[in-house]
Order: sequence, then C-alpha cells, then structure tokens
Amino acid sequence: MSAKPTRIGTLALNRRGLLKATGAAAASLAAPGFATRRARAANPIEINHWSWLAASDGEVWAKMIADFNEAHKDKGVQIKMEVVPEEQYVTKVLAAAATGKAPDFGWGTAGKGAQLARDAVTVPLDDLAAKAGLDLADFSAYSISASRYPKYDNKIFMIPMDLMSLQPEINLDHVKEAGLDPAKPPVDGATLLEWATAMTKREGDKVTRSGIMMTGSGVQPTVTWGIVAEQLGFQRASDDLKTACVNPEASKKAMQWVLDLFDKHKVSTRDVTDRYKAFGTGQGSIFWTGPWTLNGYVGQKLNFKTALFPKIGDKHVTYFEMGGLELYQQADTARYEATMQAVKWLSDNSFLWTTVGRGASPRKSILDRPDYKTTGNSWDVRGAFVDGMSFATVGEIPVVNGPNFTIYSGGNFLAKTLEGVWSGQTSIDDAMTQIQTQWQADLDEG
Amino acid sequence: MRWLERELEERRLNRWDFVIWPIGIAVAVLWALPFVWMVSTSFKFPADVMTQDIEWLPSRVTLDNYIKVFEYPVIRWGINSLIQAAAATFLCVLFGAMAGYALARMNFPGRNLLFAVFLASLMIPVEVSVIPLLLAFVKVGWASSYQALILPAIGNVFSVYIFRQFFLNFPSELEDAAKMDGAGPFNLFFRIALPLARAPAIAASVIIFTLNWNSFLWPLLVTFDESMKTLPVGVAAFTPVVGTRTQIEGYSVAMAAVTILSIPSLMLFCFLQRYFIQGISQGSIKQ
Repeated sequence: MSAKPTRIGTLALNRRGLLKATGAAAASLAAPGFATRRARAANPIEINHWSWLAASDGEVWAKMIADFNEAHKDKGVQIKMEVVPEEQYVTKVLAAAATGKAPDFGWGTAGKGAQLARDAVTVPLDDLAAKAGLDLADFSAYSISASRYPKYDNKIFMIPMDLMSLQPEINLDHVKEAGLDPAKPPVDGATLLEWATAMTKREGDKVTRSGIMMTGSGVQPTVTWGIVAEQLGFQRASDDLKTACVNPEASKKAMQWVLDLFDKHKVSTRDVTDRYKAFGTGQGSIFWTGPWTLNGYVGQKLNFKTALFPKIGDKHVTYFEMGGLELYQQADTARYEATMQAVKWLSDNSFLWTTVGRGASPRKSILDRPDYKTTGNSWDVRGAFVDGMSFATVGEIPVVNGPNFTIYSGGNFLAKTLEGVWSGQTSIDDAMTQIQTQWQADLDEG
Repeated sequence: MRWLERELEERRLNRWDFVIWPIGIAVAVLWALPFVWMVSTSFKFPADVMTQDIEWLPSRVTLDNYIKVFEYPVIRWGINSLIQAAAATFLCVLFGAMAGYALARMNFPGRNLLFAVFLASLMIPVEVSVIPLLLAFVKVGWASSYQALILPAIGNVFSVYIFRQFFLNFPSELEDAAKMDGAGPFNLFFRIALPLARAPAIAASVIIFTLNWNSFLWPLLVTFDESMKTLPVGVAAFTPVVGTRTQIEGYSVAMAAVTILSIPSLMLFCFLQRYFIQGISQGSIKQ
C-alpha cells in the first residue's frame, strides 16, 4: 500500500511521502516558521482548483489565487487554477470525478449541488473545517445554513465566499426627471408603484420606458414572482422539504401582481429582451438585479444607486445566491487537509473578493472592518447588496431536483410554466397546479 | 435595352441573374453582419458596448481587449488546436480515402452493409461514448495529451462518404491500365486513385479541419491543464454570461477572444473555397 506512487505536481511520491508533505504544508500554514522550510520546499504540493468565474470577477479571483501563491511560495504549497466555462462545469466535474481526475476544490453555488453531494463527488466539510481551524462562528448563520444539505446528513458541503442578493438599482437621471427624492427610495408596494408610475414613459398605450424593468418572459418576471410570492407568505417547499407549495394562494396573488405591472399599472413592457442592456441604456428605471452588474454599469458611468428591495407583502425577503468553495472527492484523502488549509486562507483573506470582487462577505470579521465600506465601488451602489443580506432569505431548495425550484432562471421548468401565464396562454390556476404537481414529485425524489 | 442585352451576352449573364445576384448579396450581407458586429465589438471599450444606438463601427478604438486575451496562454492554445486539427484532419482524410476507395471500388461480401453501419454510427450521440472513452484515456495515462486530443477524432464517417462518392465515378480504365502494369491494390490507391482525388480531399480537409478546430466537448473533458487546452475550450471561459447572470463589462473581451478563434478557419476557407465547392458538388452529383 505504502509503496503505491501518487503523482502530485511534478513529483511522484509514495503515500508516506505524501502524508509527510501534506503534514508539513498544513503545519506551515497553521504555524508559519515552525516546519523546516527546506523540507517543505523539496516536496511541493500543487492543489488543483477549477473556477468558472468570468469577466471582472475572474480577474479578481485570479488575483486572489496569485496572492495565495505569493504568500506560500516558500511554504511548499501552490494552487494551480484552471478556468472551466460555467455551463460545462458540472459536466466536467462529474466526468473528472468518474475517472479519478477531479480537482481538489472548485466553485459552487449554495443549494445547487445536491446531486454532487448525493453522489459523493463533493466532500462534507464539517470535520475538515474544524481541523483546519476555520472559525465557522465568524460566518453569518444563514451562510452556513445555506451550505448544508439537510437530505445528506445536514453536512456543510461548501465554504461560503460571497453573498449576492437581488436589490433594486435605480436610474437617478429618471428619478430627477420625475421630481422624486433619491434619498427616499420606495420601501413598500405602494411607494414602489408610485415611483414606477412617475418614471414610466408611454406613447399612447405603449410603454416606451419601464418604471419597473421587466422582460416579457424568462428570468425577470420569474424571479419577481418568486420574491413577491414569498413576501406574501408562499413557500416553495416546507421547512422539512416534504411538502411543495405551502400557501399556493399567495403564489397566485404574486402572479397577478406581476401581470398587473404590464396590464393594469402599465409600468413595464413585455418588449424588452435584454434586461441588462435595457437598464444600461435607460430603457428602464428600477431594475432588481445582483452585484455582478456593478462593474459594468459603473464602468459605463450610468448614474444610478442601489436601494433595498421594498416590502411588498408581510414578510420582508429577497432572493440571494451564495458562492462558495467545495472540495471534490480524491482517491488520496491525504490531500483534503492541505486543500482545506488553502480554502481557509482564501476565506480569511476574502476582503478583496467581497469588496472589489463581488457580493457581500459572509464573514463577520470582514464586514466589521472599518475600510469595508470604503473599498471597491462606492457604497451608494454597493451598500444595499451588503445591508440587504439581512433579509435575503429566499435561496435555493437543496434537493437533487433543486434546479426546477430556482426562481432565478430563464429556462427551467418554473420559468417555462410561468411563461404561459405572462403571455396569457395559461391561467394562473392551471400554472399553479402544474407547479405544485411537479415540485411535489421533485421533493419526493430526494 | 439593346445595350443591356449586349452587356449580358458579353458577361455570359441572363436576366435571372439580375434577380438572383441581389438576393444572394443580401443573404451574404445578413450572414456577415454578426461577424462584423463581433469584430467591431472586439475593438470597443467595455463602456461602449451597450449603447442605445447601434454602432457598427466603434466611435473610439482600443486594443485593450486583445491585450487582455493575450494575457492568457492563447498562443499555446492556438498551437494545440493547430496540432490537433491538422493531425486529426490528415489522418482522417487519409483513412477516409482508403475506406471510401475500398467501399467504392473493391468487391467484398457485406460491402454495402458495412457502409450502412458507417452511416448508422452517425446516429450515436457523442455524449454516449464520451465517458467510457475518457476513462480509457485516463487509464492508459493519456489524459491531457496530444494523443487524447487527436485519436478519437480520426474516425469521421463524413470523410469516408465524400471519398466513396468520388470513387464511385472514378474511371475504371485507369485502374485496368494500372492493373495490366502489375499494380496491386495499395499501388492502385496511392499512385493512381489518391493523386486524382485532390478535390474531395480538399473539401473533406476543409470541413474536417473546421470540425476539429471547433470541437469542444472532448477537448474540454480530456484536458486537465491550462497549457493543454485547445483554443475553443480556452476561449469559452471568456464568456461574460455565468448561468443567468451577465457581466456586461466582459463582452468586448469575449468578442476579441472569439475573433481570434474564428480567424484560422475563416482563412482556410477563403484560400480553399474553390476546391471546397468543387469537392462538395462532385460528391453530390452522380455522373
């Protein structure tokens, strides 16, 4: 057993050698200067990492990895990153895991990895995190809870790295033009419609500038329905993940609320197809979206600010997505410890990632830093995405068929079903029945 | 109108050409527009991409997008793609010509059945065989290697088909004369048939090279190293759309990457288009 060579980086090691190297690297990370530098440098560990981050996010993440490698250049541990397109990421991870070539760690989205957890492609991290000395108490409670898969021993399968909530971005030129006070953005359903009506432009009966940026189908009406439905008391799945569609009447009301934006209040048009472009070019005034848009809009000098999502129903909630790092199954389990040390370092040093990069930090110690609000894009555009995490509780449903439940999708079962409602081809009741039937079957499957 | 008729006669045109040519030009322009838009966007500043008015030509030009793309090992990816596409195309055309010749000119039992099996194999989706194939390459230690990139691509039925169609119309007198001079099947193929099959060889080469150059799923799965990626796999990571989220600042860089990707196959087609059309029409018309 011990003579079986394992290839790490460019060196072939036997198991004992590997354990020694891993131990040395772990010790060096935990107590810099303690282990012998020469021994560690002689047995370098190369940790393989896959990332699907793109554009400016990709650049900041590459900097994070470069910083890690710089900080560890004499400590015998280096991260080798490969960028894999997001669309093919899971396919490649599954294929690699099937052939024993999975990377040590990679990016994931909370709640969307139930299949990987079920198939033991991702590794439960509770014990590894504790061993590595990662202080889970420093993470927000909801970020840790979103990292768990209740159906798979309720273990943590990801170390949270960023939190991205949906909050309204508001075009300040339109606000000024409509004579509204930018310091007092909409806070509830009534003021939201008031603002939207004031900023909407029409030619006859046709909306030419949407007060509330919407598309005729796809992501925008679906996610709007999802947030408003939850605010009105709907739940896609019960807390024990056994019953689908708690309080379907609230869901139906939310569908009607979205339809009314187009047909009754006439503050939105179905004619918009590219929501990002439409808001960026002034064809919409209020656009709920996530922090990934900031660098683009700030770069093109759009005059906008971000506000907190209004409380339209009884519960003040909004949608959030959480990005994090997951560890993949390795034939050589000795690699987990060194990988977890690297993930710990990246988490501990994620200030750059959650200021210049994207989203809000899940780490209390980082949020409490005095320079957290002054680094990166201005707080006017970034602040709501951080403060808004206090009520961003609508996440993914952590089951194998979770993609069917996601409200932030333009092409899943939910979006396709609701498309019939938005176009008037399916009644609200019929759509609700279809959703309830499918989701119950999905929950029953596990 | 006489001058018109005279002009038409001189240029060997008829009146229908007046209708067909503008339609053809219009279709060509429509096909070219996305390409023009791609190239134009690749020279724009990120802030100038999402504008209300369409800017076919950038109001201000930057090379920053290309500089950003070349910060990645794009040249290495390009070389990998070139090696993979060229080697796979050469082997594929060679074996396709041999198989096509055998299926067209040699009589052996089950010849037509074999050809039918070849064609039927087109109906098997790549996705079905990709994991066992990957497993095999990993087991023999060929993951992230040129062998892994090239070998699965050399069995292409299209190549067999195009050569079979060509050799079906091959004059038997040439073969008979060679046989009288004592040529065996290999000599017949390599010294008589293959040199005369230039047009289908070029047509098959262009098509198979383009297919290999653009192939994505297999190179994506079999490479585990940035340095062994092919250009399409490397370039795909520039997409600014992640799931349902779009980072608009990434469009111009992505367009620069895609422009670089499209240049080689476009150049190949431009240089060889005459043979390409000739080969396709020879394969499709039975004389």
